[in-house]
Amino acid sequence: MASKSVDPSNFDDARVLLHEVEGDRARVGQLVRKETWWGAPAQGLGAALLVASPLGGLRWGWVLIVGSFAVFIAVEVLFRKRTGLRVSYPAGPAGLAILIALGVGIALAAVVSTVWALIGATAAVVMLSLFAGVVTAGCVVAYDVLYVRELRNVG
Amino acid sequence: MSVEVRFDESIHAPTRLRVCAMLRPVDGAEFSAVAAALGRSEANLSKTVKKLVDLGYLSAAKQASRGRADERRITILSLTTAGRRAVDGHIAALRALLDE
Repeated sequence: MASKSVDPSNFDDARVLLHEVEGDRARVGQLVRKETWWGAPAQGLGAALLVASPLGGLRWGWVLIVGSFAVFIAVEVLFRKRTGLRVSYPAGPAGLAILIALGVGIALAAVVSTVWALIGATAAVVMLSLFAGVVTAGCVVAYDVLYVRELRNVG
Repeated sequence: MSVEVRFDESIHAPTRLRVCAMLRPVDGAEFSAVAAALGRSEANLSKTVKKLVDLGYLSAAKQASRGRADERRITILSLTTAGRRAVDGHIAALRALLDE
């Protein structure tokens, strides 16, 4: 298709252009959604490692924390490599709300697991870590679905 | 942030607008990914990209790519602040035209 100019006052031209823009953004959304199947569980693993880190104590806890951040960084690197996209901010308010809620939730879970680890409630920390992992994976799926929807309204 | 409704003739050509609009929601994208999403060849798209860079609406940064066997550099395209403002205003203008 040639990059021809279009009539600024033409209703049909404007509609066609906006339709094409929507189609392009839908393809960007598809690229993002195609990575959810591995990105969501991987980030769930990252969250679970972080929440479980107090179990390692002062001696080994840092290994779990480093492992957690390594997972998150690896997800970002792999996502960029597979899609060719650099995405670091949500497409709309709903996505932003999920990110904030998830961040606060993980931070709270980390605090609670630290307290539980200090009083020796190991099983509770393990359960909380698993729960945090599953919830995080679910939130990532929801975020990606919302991202695709909110992409249409950007700009 | 409110959007200034402004028809921008320099990005009204379909391919220019599509490149800008596709890059608007992301920090950046590889040149090849943009070409693939728009269904255009890289050779075909390079002239449009160069024009948008000249206009100050797009930045093109070269990055080394370990993933490529020939160690060629990949090009990352991203909208500049002026580009974001232009595409937001132009899309708002097109929507306003349809709402009339």
